[in-house]
This record gives sequence, C-alpha cells and structure tokens, in this order.
Amino acid sequence: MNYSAPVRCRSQWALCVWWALFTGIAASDDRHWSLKPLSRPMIPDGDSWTHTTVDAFVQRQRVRAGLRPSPEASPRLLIRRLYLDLLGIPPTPHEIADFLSDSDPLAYERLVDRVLASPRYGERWAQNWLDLIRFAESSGYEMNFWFPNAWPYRDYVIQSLNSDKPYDRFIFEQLAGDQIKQDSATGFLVAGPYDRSLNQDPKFKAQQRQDELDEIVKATGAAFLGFSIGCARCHDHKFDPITQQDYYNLQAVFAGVRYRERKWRGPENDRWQQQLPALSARITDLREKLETFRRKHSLRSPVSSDATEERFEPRMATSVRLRIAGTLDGRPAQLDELEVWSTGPEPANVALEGAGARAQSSGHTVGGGAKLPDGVIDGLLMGDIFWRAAQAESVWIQVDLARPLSIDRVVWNARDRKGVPADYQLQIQNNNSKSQTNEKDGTWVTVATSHDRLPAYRDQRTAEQLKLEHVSAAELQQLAALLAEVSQLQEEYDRLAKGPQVFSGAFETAEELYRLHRGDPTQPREIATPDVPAIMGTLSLEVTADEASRRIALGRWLGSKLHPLPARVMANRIWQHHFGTGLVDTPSDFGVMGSTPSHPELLEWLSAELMDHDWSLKHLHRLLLLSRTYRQESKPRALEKQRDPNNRLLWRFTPRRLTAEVLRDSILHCSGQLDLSMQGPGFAFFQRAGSFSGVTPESQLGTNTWRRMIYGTKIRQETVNVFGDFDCPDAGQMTPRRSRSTTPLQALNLFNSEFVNHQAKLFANEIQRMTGPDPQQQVRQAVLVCLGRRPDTEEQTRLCELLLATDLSQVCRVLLNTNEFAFLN
Amino acid sequence: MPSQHQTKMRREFLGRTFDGLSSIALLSLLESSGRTAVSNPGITSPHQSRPAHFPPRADNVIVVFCCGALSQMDTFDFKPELIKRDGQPLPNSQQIVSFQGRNGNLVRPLWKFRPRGSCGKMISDLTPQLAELADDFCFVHSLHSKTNTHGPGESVMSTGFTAEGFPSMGAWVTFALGSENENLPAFVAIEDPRGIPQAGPANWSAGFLPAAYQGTPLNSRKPVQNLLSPNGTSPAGEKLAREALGFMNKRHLDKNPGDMELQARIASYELAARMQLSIPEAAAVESEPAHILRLYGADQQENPFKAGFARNCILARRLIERGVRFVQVFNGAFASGGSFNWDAHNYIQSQYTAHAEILDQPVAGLIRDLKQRGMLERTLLVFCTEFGRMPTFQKGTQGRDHNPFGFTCFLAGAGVRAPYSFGATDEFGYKAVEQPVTVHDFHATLLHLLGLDHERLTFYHNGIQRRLTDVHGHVIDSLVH
Repeated sequence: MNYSAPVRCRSQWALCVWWALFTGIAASDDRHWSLKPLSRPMIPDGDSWTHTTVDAFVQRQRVRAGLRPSPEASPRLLIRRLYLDLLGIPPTPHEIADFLSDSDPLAYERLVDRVLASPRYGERWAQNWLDLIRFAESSGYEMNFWFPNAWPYRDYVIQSLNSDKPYDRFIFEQLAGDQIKQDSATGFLVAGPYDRSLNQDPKFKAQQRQDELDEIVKATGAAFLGFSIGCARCHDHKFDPITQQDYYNLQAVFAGVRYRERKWRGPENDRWQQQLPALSARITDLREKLETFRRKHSLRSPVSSDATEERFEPRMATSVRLRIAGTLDGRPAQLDELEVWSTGPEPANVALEGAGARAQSSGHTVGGGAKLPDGVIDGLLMGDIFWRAAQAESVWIQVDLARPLSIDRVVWNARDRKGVPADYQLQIQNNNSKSQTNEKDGTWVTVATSHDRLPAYRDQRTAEQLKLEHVSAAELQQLAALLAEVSQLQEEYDRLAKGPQVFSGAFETAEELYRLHRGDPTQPREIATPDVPAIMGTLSLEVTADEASRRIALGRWLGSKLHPLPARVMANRIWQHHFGTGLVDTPSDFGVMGSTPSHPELLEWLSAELMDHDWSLKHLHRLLLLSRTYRQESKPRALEKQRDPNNRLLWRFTPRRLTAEVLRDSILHCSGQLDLSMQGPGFAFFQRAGSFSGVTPESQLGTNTWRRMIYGTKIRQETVNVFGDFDCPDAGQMTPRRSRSTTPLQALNLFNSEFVNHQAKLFANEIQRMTGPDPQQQVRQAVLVCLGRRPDTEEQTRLCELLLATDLSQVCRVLLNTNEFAFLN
Repeated sequence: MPSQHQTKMRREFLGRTFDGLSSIALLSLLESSGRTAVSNPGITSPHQSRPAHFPPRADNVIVVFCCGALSQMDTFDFKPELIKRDGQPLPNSQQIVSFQGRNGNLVRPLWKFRPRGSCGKMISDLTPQLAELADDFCFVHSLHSKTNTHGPGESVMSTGFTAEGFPSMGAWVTFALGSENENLPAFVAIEDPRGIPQAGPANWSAGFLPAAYQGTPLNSRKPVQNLLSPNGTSPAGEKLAREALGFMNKRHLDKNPGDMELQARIASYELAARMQLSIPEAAAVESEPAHILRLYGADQQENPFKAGFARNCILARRLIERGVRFVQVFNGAFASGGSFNWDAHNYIQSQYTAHAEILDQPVAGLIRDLKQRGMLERTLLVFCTEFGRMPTFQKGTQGRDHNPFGFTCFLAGAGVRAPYSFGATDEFGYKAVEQPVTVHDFHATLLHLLGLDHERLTFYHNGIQRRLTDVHGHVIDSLVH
C-alpha cells in the first residue's frame, strides 16, 4: 500500500455539490454563504430588553426560541469580567472601589474605554493572534532550534492591537511589511514550524521546501480567509471550491520567502550604521600597517580560509603531503579537497580516486559530516564529505598518486570551515626507482611553507606560535597585537554592518513553482501563477511578477473590501474571544465543512461595522462590550441549560476557566510581583532552549521571570512547567480556539508547585504589609485582592481557622486554587 | 502489588480527603475546538473507561520505540544475497544520495543470523534473548515511511504525520477508550535513561485533542512534576488546606448549581490527591523481588543505561498491571552521531553492540514477564522504529545512512498471529517490495486490535475530521487472524 495511492472519495457528493454551486453562479448566486458579498442587514426593532444593536439581533433569536435573558451581572462582577477578558489580570481592590463609587450613568462606558486604552489589552489579546498563527520562537521538528531574534513579531502584534491599527493595514504589514519598513511584521510568514535538518537527498530536500511554503499558504488561508486552502495540496479540495491549481497559485505568492533572519531597520539600526565610517577608517589604517609589515619582510599574502594555492617549479612526484602544525582557530584541521595539478599542455588535477590516487592521514575523526581521508580526493566540493584531523597539532594528510607525474601546483580547499591550516609545510616525495632526476628517492622535499606568508588577521595564534622567517621576537609581538586588533575591529564592523537582526523571513527572487501532481515535488505539472483562489477573485499578476509585488498584491487584495471573508472571519474571532464561542464555531473554517453562523445577520452587521469604521478592532470590541448581552450574569439556569446547553443563543454569559496565561499573570498580580515591563527579548522557561537533546525547565523563582507570560520565550513542542498543562498549545498546528480540559495534573501543578507556593508566601507578605498583624483583617484583605469581594462570615471563620492552624500563606495558596479565582464569570 | 500497609494508608487518606463531595461523579469538561465526532467522549470523564467500536483483542498497549532508526538487515530481516554481494555496489545505485549524502558499497550484516525458536525464523546474534522469543513475534518486514529524517520520522510513527502538532497514537487511544485506572495517568511516556527521543514530546503530544489525552512523561528516575506536596507543609496543614479549598469551592458551587465544569474541577483535586499515592506506588520498581529485577537485567548496575532501561521496562509492566491504557517505552535518545541511539552513521559495529546490550535483555524480560503473568494475552506489545537503514555503508564511514523505503517492526501478544512474518524487502533489504505496508496501515491494524475502526475514530480540527491514519490506512487482516 502506498502513501500516494488515490484516496477513495467517500464524499463525492460534496464535490458534486460545490461543483453545482460553482457552475451555477452565473444564473444566481448560489455560492456558499461565506463567499457571497456582504450586505448590511436590517436591524431588528428590539424590545424593552434590548439596549444596543447587538442585543436586538440576539434578542430576536432568543425570543423565537422561547428563552429568557439573564439579569445584569453586578458591577463588582462586571469590572472583574472586563479586566480578565480584556486585560488578563483582575482589578485591584482600589480599582473596584473606584468603579463602584462612580454614580455616573456612563460609568460602565467610561470603564470600557479605560480598559481598551490600557497597554495590558494588547498583551492579553495578542495571545489569541499568536495562538492562531502558531507563533513560536523555535523551529520545531527534530532540531527545534531557538530563534533568538523572533520576539520582535510578538511586540509588533501587541503594539498593533494597542494602537488599534486598522485591520487591513495589520494584514498588509504581515505580508509585505518589508516594503514599508515594518520589518518585524513579516514574522507572520515564518511563524510556523520548519524542518532545519540538512537533508542531502534531493527528493526530500524538495519536500522540505514544499513543507515550508505549505505552512505559509495554510496560515494565510486560515488566518485571513478562514479557508482550509492547505487541504488542496495533493488534490482539489474535497469540500470547498478550491482547486489544486488554486493552492499552488497561492504558494507562488510566497515563492521567494525564505525562513531566515534579515536586517531590522529602525532607530537601532541607524545608530549602528552611523558608527561604520569611523570604524572603517581605523581598519584601513591598521591594514596599511600590516601591508607595510608584509613588504618590509617580503612576505606573501595570507592563506585563504577558502582555497589556498601553492605553485612551485615542476617536479616529479608520487606523493604529496600537507603537514599541518597549526590552524587559524586552533581546532583540528579540516579539508574538503586537496588538488594536485600536473604540468604539460593540459594540466589536470591528478589527486582523484577516479585517477587511481589514494589518500591517507595521520589520523581522522568521523562524525558531524567528517569522514575518512579519501573524501579529499573525491573531486567534489559538496561539503558532505570532508577530512578532519584526529588532533589539533602536528598532523598530516597525504595523497599518493597512481604513477609518478610532473606537478607544479597544489590547491587545498577548507571551504571556510573551522580548522583552516595556518602553519603548514607542503612536501613532495618521489618514490619512483627509475627516476632520472637527482633527487634522492624516498625523501620528502618541502616545496612550500606558510612561514613566508603574512598571517591572516583571523589567525588566533599567539606571538610565540607564529613562525615567520627572518622576523624578530619583538616584531612578532607587535604583529600579533596588530592582528588581534584588526580581527576584533573587523568582527565588530561586520556585526554592525549586518545590523540588528529579526527573524521575519528573507526575500529572494521568486522560484518557479508548479502544480505538483499528488503534492509530489518530483511530479511538476502546470506552472503556478501568483494568485488567490479563483472563486474569490484574482490578483491579476503575471507568472513572472517580481517577488515583492506578489505579496504586496495579496496584502492589498485582502484589505480591499473586494472580498467579504477577511472582515467576516475577524469579526467572528473577536466575538469568540469575548463570548467563548464564535457566531461561527469553526473559526478558521468558513467553508462547506465549517458551521453556519448561529446569528447570520449579526455577523453580517458586525463585519460591515468593522469595514465601515476603518477596520477598527476597538470599535468592534466596544459594540460587544456595551451590549446587555455581554453584561448578563453567568449563572446556569435549568430550563435554558436544557434547551440550549451550549448557550449558543446567549441566555447568559458563558463562564470559562482562565487560560494558562491569565491564570499565571493573575497569580503574580495578586501577589504583587507582576513585572509589567513591556517589549524586548523574552524570559526563559527552559534552561537550554534551542537544542535537540531536550530542554530543562528553568526555575520560575527568579524575579526576572515574573513578567507577563506572553513575554516568555515560546519553545515549540515543549510544555511549560505548571501552566503548560492548562491547555497551552504547542505551536505545532494553528489554534484558532484552545481546547479546554480539566485534569488532575492541573490540580497537582496549581496546588503543589514551588512556583504557586512561593507566590502564595509573597502574597501573604504583601497582605501583612498592608493590614498588619490582625488575622481577621489579613483574611479579609486576601479574599478581596484574590476574588474581588469581601468574604462572608462563614468563609471568614473557616479561613481564619486555617490561618491560625497554619499560616497566612496557606490561606493565599487555597484562594489561588479556588474555582472562583480560576474562572471568568 | 501494594503492601497491606500501603493499601490501608491509602484507604484512610481517601476517607479523610473525600469531603462530602465524593458522591459527585468525576465529571470533566472537555470542550473541543469546534464540533466533535460521534465517537467523541464530549463532556464526560476524560479517563473513564469507554467501550470500543467492536470487541477488542487488546486492552492495553506497550510500545517499545527504538529511536534513531534500527537497522533491519542487521537484526530481523535476513538477506542472504546481501551477504553474498558484500563489498559490491548496490545495483543501479550509482546516483543514490541518501540523508547524509553519497553511499559506498553493500555491506553484509555485521552479526550472524541463525534459525530461532521452533519456527526457525532467522534472527541475528545482535539480540540473542529477543531471538529466543521468535515464536511469539509477528514481524512486519515491509514497512516504509514518508520521510528520511528522524524527527518527522518519529512523528509519523507516533502520530501518522510528518508535520508538527498532531495527536499521538496514545492520545488517540486514550481519547477513544479512557483508562482502566483513573488514579493513574491514562497514557505514560517513559523516556530512555540516555535522554529524550529526537522528536521529543511530539511523540506523546495530545496535538489538537484536549490536553487530558497528552502522555505523561515519567520514568523510573523522574517523577511526575509537582506530584508531591510542597516542602515545609505538615500533613495536618495539607489536610486543612485541602478542606478549606473544598469548602470554598462548595460554597461557590452552591451559588452556581449544576455547573459541570466547576464540579469537574473539584473532582480533579480529589483525583490529584489519590494520584499522590497511586503514582509513587506504581513507580516503586525497587519493590520488585530480586528474581524479577534479574529477569530484566535491572540488577546490572555496572551498566547504568541497561539497568535504567530495565527498570523502565518493569515500570511499563507495573503501569499496565494497574490499568494504564497506553505506555510508550523509548529505547535510545536524541541524535548524537549514534552514541545514544540507533542512528549508526559512523561505526555501526561498536555502537550497535553497546545499544543492543541495553535493549535485548530488558525487552525480552518484559515479554517473558508479561507471559508468565498471563498479561500478554490482553496486552499488545509493539516493537517499532521510525525507519530503516541502507544496505550500504556511507561513503567514507563504517555505518549505514537513513532508509525510509523499507524497515521492520514486530508485534507480540493480544492474539496477533505468531510466529509470522509479513511482507518483504528486496534481496538486499533496501526497499519494501512484497506487500508494502505504510505506517497508516500499521496504525489501522493496531487500532483494530484495540477494537477501534480507524476511519471512525475522528476529531474535527480546522476544517477536517482528523484521524490517526490521515485519509489512508488499511487493516492488515492476516496479522490479526
């Protein structure tokens, strides 16, 4: 049985259905609902309950179903809900008191505005976007390398949300931000996992590249369009009107995108570049000194870290040996190829296995690509086979020729690896007894050495290790100092010239891409033209369109209002994160297999509002938050629960457990330890990120780790200690909606972990500082900080008993574990 | 088995911690991302035992995963032609570039093959104790994979996909069947003493399934994280804290009557308290009698890797014995030039000799132990690896490169057909040619043995009803008859 065997389509009905829909468009618009143009619906009249337009739509359907809304939640609950929902941390007792004492009828509206203006809002809601596009700061797969410069994208998303960047612009920047100096924005393109292993097998190498592009196509399709375009990689989409050609056309938009870092332009880079001219002048000056030194001592040019050549008078040879006494970096010598060139009218490299040559060495190590010595005479500079000496000093590698030949040139290629020979002697032997020359048989004759070459500035040898003919010890000291200075300045120059780096993709000339039969890179068919799926429209680009113009065109098209999907999908996402479930409960699937909206006209209205208000997400937030629908109580009611158990008709506010991030941030907030510094490199959850040999959890007891969890470096695959078990996605697949589970391991983590118990102690200290020694006061304050309310008499008694039998930190530990603390109500 | 004393202690402890809430059934909310399949347990207890689609052969699974790609031609896939053509080029192979590059000539198996058991199956001297059990094994010689890279390869064997983020086999199985013992994790991943496997936690990920189905990493030396009460709290203090928490949660529940998710979370704390006792009890490998430690080689402290792996194998048996549904035991760790796993690119002879010493007796001991306890009848043992190796040595080395085109795994127990050998590679062991088996087919067959129809075990995720077997897979009928 075969992986690429044709799939028996058990859903051919679906194919028939969409094809019927597709071909019938001309007659009447029978397209799937999500593909139809957007139109503002009539707003229902509403009744005495309705307060806003959102309410009118919701109430109409609720009344039809015979369900009653829930009463409005208390102001105390409302402020807690708003804070946890929008900011991800609970309000302080002070903030609660302020709100409760505000008798202005517009107090709630003003609170909503205040909350939306808080920088904490971006930190909370950016997490939803990062989940969706499975952003992480490591590659995933077997290497799972850490990307130390991926974090700017996280800050970009936070800042975009906080500044209420119009959504169309947010889309454009993520696809083509490099064109308008928004370098961190294109982190979107390379946010997915990719396989960094150096596969030499061409078929699998092509597959790796296809997987890279596939991640970008899938993310673009799902995040902005809510369509599973990735499903059309191997065959036409089985359910949606997306053909395989559509898939490869969208791939062609990203044909030049590479998973690499690039320069991060901006004020920091400007500062770096300003330092270059002065540095350059100093380097030139020092190099001139080196050149003067070279001339004075009649030295040759330095060895190259790539190919080094030695020419000499023609000689008969049977063997050539390179003796290596030292290397540039002190590591064992490495050579990829060693060429020996014959004399005569048609010089040829005679140090080849194919020409009967053999290689030997003083010793070799195998591993990490290094192989036996005969790799140096395979005639290939592929880099997969090279020789590495067994030790760092006094080694040799030798080529024995098939027969005595006249030679005059030897070239060795270190391919810029580590272990470039710096101190060497090139020797020749002629073992041919019939030799007519006057050289003694069997003796090694040195034809060239490094001792008349100026050392390369990268040479790390000390003055004592440098060997130069006719140069005094004092001069060697001066030379070594000079070399070290040039080396250091050059390194600094290279770093600054490269600029600060951001892992947000590099852009190369777009490669030609084709529709691949069954998704197999060895079976290319029709050429792919950069475009969006035909059913949605067209970018009107040529096959040969320039790389950047492809991404620009897509970015513009997505935000052009030409197609209703971007607005519908985003409006639904906002709804989902406020209410727990989207109006469409398959948030990244608006296709045939996805759900239909529970409130179709409400979704249309919200989508139109989003577009008509300059794509403002905060406008949409406000519309939802000010509704009575949002302000309902969350208590279950028997009749409604039975009729509409999933609360799709919104007869209450859906309670839900806090996400891992909100839980952790709230604990730190209560204990008074939350570090609110924004931006910049993240803190580590693991000691050794970026290794394929496993990671060790970092202790979370250091204050430097007490920033908000979104600033924790996200390592793919790995579950963060304590909070990872609370349904944190592993960033392998896109997560438009987190799973939610309740497990005993969560209970163990929250009740027993050193982190929580440590915070409980600090929380207790904080309370003691605030209230003084009275246990009654302490309990009252702890409950107030943690749950936002005063304890009732029984709770007060019970918690005081615990305090007296143990200590305040146990009370704090218990409070941080309660359902009331852990749920958004 | 737990001592009487332990049992008594546990009973007393449970009596104390059940705070009037023990009558509430363990109800755990599992909200999936979007709609769910018919077979989804939905809002029920995640680990409560659930019936299979049809009567199963196996109740539990132990997977022994040989990380790094175990060579088929040096172990179980006997190829006389390879011995005969030792040192000659692989026909039509001048251009073969495999994972690390170019290849040299054919190299014969480095260990001698002999007929074993009453069936006479040819198995090499590399694993003499496993070889003795040949009559119990059902070999699949014609497996092939989609990738030649370890990480994705392990992912394919564990999840069916090369890409990141898909649920592992253990997650699917516990999602479908729950567990026989709610006081222990339903799915346990036991890491090798030398380190974690190349694809790491992807091997036991819940992917997009609820986190409840994620494998719990545990081995005989590494306890479950945060299992024990924090230092510095007295047992009496712990009890009071638990009771106060129970009190607070009950009052809150009274104000929100009938809220299942709140009830589930209360129950999860009770279950956690029971796990604090049941996990250390299950992991107490040292309580095994001396003859059992000897059987597995756990007494051979002079080889700490072997003793450690043997203890892991004993732990696997103890977990299965206590009703854990799915246990993955890893043999071998991450990429290390073949030093810590089966990835022998450079010096296969010396590296495999060391690795086989660690693998052979403990796994043979495990199978013998399961047999003598009558557990093998209802436990499926899966011996697998991510892909195979080349019949040639790599150019310039004394080891074999990756080969996804043919490799061998075997099954034992749970009424699988044994002794039996299914499918075949070509005359050199290079490519699966007779009745080739995809990993999807292999998975479909494993699920079938557990009473699960791989086409019905689905979960909706981002537009697709996902399966362990993607859109492929056929049960290999002849293995299960």
